[in-house]
Amino acid sequence: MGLSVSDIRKIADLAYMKMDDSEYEELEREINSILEMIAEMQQVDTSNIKPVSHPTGETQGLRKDQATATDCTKLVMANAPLEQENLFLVPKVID
Amino acid sequence: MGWLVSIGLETHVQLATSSKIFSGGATDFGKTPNSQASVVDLALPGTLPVLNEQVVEYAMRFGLAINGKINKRSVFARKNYFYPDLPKGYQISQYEEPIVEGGSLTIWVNNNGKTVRLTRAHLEEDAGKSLHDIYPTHSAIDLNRAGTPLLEIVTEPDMNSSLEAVEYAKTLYELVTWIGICSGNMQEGNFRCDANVSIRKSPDCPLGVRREIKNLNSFKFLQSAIDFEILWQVGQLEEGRKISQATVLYDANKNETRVMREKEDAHDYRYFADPDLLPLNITNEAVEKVAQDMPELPNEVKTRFAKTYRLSREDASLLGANRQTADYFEETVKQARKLITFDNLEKIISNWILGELFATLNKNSLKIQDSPVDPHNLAKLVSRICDGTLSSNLGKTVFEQMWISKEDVDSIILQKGLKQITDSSEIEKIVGTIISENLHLANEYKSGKDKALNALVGKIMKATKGKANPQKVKDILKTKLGY
Amino acid sequence: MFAKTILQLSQGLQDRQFSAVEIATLFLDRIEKFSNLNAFLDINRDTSLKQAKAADKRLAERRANPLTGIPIAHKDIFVTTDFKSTAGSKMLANYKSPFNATIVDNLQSAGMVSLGKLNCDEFAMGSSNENSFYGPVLNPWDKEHVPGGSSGGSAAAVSARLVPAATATDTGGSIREPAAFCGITGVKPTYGRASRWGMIAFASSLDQGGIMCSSAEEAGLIFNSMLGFDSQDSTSVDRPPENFNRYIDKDLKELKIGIPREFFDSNIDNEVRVAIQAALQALEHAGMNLIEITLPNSHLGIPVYYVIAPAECSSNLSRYDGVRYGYRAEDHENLTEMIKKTRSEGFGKEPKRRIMIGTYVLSQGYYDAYYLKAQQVRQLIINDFSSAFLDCDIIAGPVTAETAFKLGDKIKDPLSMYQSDFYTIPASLAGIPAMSIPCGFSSTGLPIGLQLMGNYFEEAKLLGVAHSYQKLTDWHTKMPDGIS
Repeated sequence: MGLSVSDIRKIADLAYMKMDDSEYEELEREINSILEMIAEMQQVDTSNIKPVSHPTGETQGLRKDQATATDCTKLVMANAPLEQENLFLVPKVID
Repeated sequence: MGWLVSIGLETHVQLATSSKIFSGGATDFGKTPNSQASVVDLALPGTLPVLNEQVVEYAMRFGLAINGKINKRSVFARKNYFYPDLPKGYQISQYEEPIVEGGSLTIWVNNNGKTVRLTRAHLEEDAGKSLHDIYPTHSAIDLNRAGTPLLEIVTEPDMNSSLEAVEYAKTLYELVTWIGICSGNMQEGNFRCDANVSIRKSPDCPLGVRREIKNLNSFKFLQSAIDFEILWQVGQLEEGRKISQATVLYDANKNETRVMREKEDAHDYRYFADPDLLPLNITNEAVEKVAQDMPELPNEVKTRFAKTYRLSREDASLLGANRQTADYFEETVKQARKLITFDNLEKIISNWILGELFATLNKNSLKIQDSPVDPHNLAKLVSRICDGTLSSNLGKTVFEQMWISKEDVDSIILQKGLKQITDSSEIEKIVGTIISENLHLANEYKSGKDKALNALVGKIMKATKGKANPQKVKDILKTKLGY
Repeated sequence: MFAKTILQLSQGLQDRQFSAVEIATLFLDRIEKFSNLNAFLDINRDTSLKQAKAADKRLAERRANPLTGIPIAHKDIFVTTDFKSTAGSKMLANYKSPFNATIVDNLQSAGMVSLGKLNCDEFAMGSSNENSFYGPVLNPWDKEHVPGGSSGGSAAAVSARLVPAATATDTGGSIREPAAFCGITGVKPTYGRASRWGMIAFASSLDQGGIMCSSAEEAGLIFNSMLGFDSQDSTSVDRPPENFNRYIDKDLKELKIGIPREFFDSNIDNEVRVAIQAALQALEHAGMNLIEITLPNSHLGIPVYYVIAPAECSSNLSRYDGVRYGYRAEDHENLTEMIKKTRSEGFGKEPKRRIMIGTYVLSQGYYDAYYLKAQQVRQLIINDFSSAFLDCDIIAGPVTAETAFKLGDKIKDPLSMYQSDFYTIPASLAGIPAMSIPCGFSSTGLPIGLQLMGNYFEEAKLLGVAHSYQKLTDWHTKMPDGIS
């Protein structure tokens, strides 16, 4: 059982994307064929196999608790689509 | 009412670090918007998280304080959802493998101890802030708070009333500030609770459907929100309606809760282990090292105060409410014991701290560690009361003077001539004068009206400007009046 | 001059035969002259010449190292303060990073001169460079063919000698496949060797920076300055510095070269097979022992990869919401719509496809069947390599089943495109070092690549074997026509 166009819409919603119908239909075809290809992996017996958490199996290093960051607001705000008084502006959120 | 209430709390405790949990961004509050947001906090392309060692130590401290299990291995996971103040589009949190599991906290309600079981405590990062009221047509995003370290502490649904919930929250607050992992500034959102509330008919029934009240940042709101929610749920069920699982917000102005989202709108967070971070391993040695530096905990201190100083549980609780007060009390006791041996010394000190000192601190909005009257001076004052130099009332006058001038107790007494008159012959002389001036009172007393005696004592105290020892005055009066 | 190797350029700079400014100017002119290849996305002559001048000063003061004054260019996945950083996407069309990637800084500290940023598949997703928002890169050997991807710009630029070396990144084969298609040397080190700080993330547990150049020896030389522990990257491995060229003059005669049975199945093009077999024989002639090995789970590489990489990318690309930087859609009724439209218009087809797959495989009810399962099968693939390396030192095989395909041939069919990475994905999933070196040409004159894979942290040995092959053959010195 593959995904339907309405499943694809739900996934797009979760991924915060909104496309037109023809794009959804195309994605439905493509994703279903990719999932079919992936299905090969699901046949493999993996009982007693621990999932990989990291290829090198190292453990997390720690940094000292020091505020080292420099203020780069100017450069950052230069990239902002819309900003005022050092704040990023977005369409008003109505609660 | 016939309903059994079950409450579980999830508390976000902001950890007192100088830098963010995963970046070198500063954590100072109230700075220019976005100036505290490092390139990591802003989720600029190519940035990566590195864990702050201090938050790990803090979590270990907490785990030890609640007698929980500190996991040798814990894993950071991504909680994926979109919101403009969540810069990466996911929050780094811990999901299946948190740093602390289990443990418990004892709370005291009406003199009864109760154990609240903790489910877990995990590390995560805070989001930024969306400001909706600055501009008319836009919301503004300030990411200064983004990446601030939080310890989320989750309980089992063990609390059965809003009172217990508040008591738990207060006890937890005392604990996290006591062990120094949280600065405890509630106005700045350092300590925020979510309450899961459900009701059922009896302990035999399974737990009812719960609703979660989000983001309660004061003990008062916590209590009133839960109270409202309980009433609402009871109303629903008694009118035959069903309760559906939901997340609600408490509106303090209207004193009501309203639905933020229903269960069917629940987020699908798509948790998975963050591939930018490796599993966090904690060695036994690291835990032992933290254990060695652990202070005595609030509940231990309170019990010890009650026992060794023969204080009531309430007084011991108040003195043990935070480390500064407890330290102040114990230091005063230590100093006072050097000066005097007195039967009720600790009780008198406790009364002075909880009474005069607290009232004056409150009036001046000062913290105990900033008190102008330090433990050494308070000890001296108490010793002068115990040795009879000062009456309690005069003690208060001296205290007031010490508060202002920070002078030595003895020099204030000397300066102001406040020394209590303990010389019996001197008192007898004054008593004689007062009796002769108030013969009607003397007669009333003799005819059995005990109140008259107090009136006479009052007049004598007034004549001596309070310096006469009231007990001595009473004794002499009684002798003179033939009783 | 442009045909000189890095070692020759380095010698010439030390001897003051020419200056770093002269070299930089020469290559900058070539970049402009061959702009039809579409290899570069951003150049900045002034900045590059300033760096070259500084290099000349260092050379004059005898403070130089072998890389000082050598030009380099960076795949546009590495963020840079001197150039735009677009990731080949509309989403970051005018993005200027406030900081440099660690790798960029490392090479700059060595005195290398940055000539600009190189085209690539959008967010490094692709095998043909046709997924770049800025148009495809052409293969210098045949402009009707793709250069491979995702590091297509890097491969084409080095192959056409627009720059002597270029940084690149490899997630499932994005260094090795384009290196093979363009007839150059491309190396991906062990996962954790190259800092990922400043490398725009595609799939964090797979992404690894590497290098493209003309020979194994050059790669080792650059690695000496480029790789190393970075405290800003939690997945960076803390190991003492080492000389990656220490195997170059060693006797490698006793080394065992493992030939995975599964890499020579019926899918492989015959001309490729013949070239690879000839290359293996050359290694045998050099005194190494060929042994057959098995990587029984390698066929599961693509399915596993297309669960893990999309899952990680779906989350990594969530930050592109039009709030703080990058593209923001114009018409929108509210905040949610703004973000949705921004992402739908800002991402191209391939990132969207992968975000969708990744979102699905992580979603409630599917996580165990897909993501968790994939991480388990990934362990089986790692186990394959662990057992293989008990028997051999280096694994050798093809990079791709065929030579560079034609532009437009596969872009409409994602599945066949995905198959291009069949031989490269297993090493990526395991995180082991792997490389591609030229080993011949097809009858149509397109390059063929030999893949060599080493055990964890054995880059030096890997480069040593590649170098001994390059001492015996001259494939790596061949250049396409029409680049003078």
